[in-house]
Amino acid sequence: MNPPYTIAQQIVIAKISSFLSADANDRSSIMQWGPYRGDERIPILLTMLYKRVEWANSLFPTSVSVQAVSEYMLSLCGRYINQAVAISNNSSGEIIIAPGSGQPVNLSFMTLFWEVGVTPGPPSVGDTNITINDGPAIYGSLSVYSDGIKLMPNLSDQYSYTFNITPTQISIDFTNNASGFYLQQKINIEYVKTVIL
Amino acid sequence: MPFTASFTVSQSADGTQLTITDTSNYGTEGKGTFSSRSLSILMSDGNPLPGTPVIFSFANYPNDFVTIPIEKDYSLNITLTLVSTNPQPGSVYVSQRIVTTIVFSNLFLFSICQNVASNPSVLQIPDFYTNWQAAEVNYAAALRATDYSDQFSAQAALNRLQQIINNKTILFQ
Repeated sequence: MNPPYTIAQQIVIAKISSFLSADANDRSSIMQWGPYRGDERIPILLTMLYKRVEWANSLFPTSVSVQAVSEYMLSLCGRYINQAVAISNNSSGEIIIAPGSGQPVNLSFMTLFWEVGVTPGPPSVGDTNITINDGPAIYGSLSVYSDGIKLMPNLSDQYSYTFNITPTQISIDFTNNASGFYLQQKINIEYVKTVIL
Repeated sequence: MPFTASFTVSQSADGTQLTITDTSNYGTEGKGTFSSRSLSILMSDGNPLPGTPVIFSFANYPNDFVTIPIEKDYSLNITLTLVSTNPQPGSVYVSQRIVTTIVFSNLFLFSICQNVASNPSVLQIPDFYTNWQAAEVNYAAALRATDYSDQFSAQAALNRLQQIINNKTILFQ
């Protein structure tokens, strides 16, 4: 009987299962106090096995012993196999079509950070707004943090901001910010933009 | 285009043969423009790897590669030196880098995998898993030290791994 996956596929499944099993171990040990406690060695075992199978398969692709070790490795993936296969099949990403232009695009997740007056960047001490010449940002994807605290937009009773997004620019006006940015204020801005393929 | 000295290193599948190939671009400066070519292969203690040629002459090595027998993995400081009779501006006649051989280590680590796959209960043997991890950690440390051109640390990690290999009947049973 032919094995369900080639050695190359089994290596990919093991790599992904290593992360999935590590995540499951964390969740069961920290959050659930373990109705299910898997073998905590599985993530490391998988890592040690797939590294060696990957090496051996590159040199001895027809070796029976490589096949045997690889199938043992697959057996350790156990309940993570289906999820790993699903992740693997989608790893190339789906094509996203921008509704405005009809063009296929990729999404790019942007994270900007400045410590005002310390790291170079648009916000200077005393400023009340930031303009970022980038885009097109997806409306609604913008998040703004001050000293690690997420600011809510368009509020009048607290430190907040209003924003305007154009295809080439994001401008953010900070409200209730009478004295402007202060020295070492940590400004973190995140947004998602589309990149034409 | 200026001349650039370069070489590649490969190890046979069983680990016992190390092949160093001169891949310099002799199209820009022909072999006739060099008075000598030499190869230095130094171990981490500064001594030459046993059996290595000092003179890697064009006459004795017309195919530009040399094969050296090795019996275990080493971290090596390899330098290819060419002496030009007519040096050109912008050309580089020396190529040097740290190379760590890994096949013996990989064969040993794969043998542990085979052992586990054929008899998974060996994982219940006290310290089997810990010793396996220690071997893997030292293997990874050797490669990482090589990335940082730290030959001494790479060889130290290989030596620790060699200790495990030498004592495998004690550590893995």
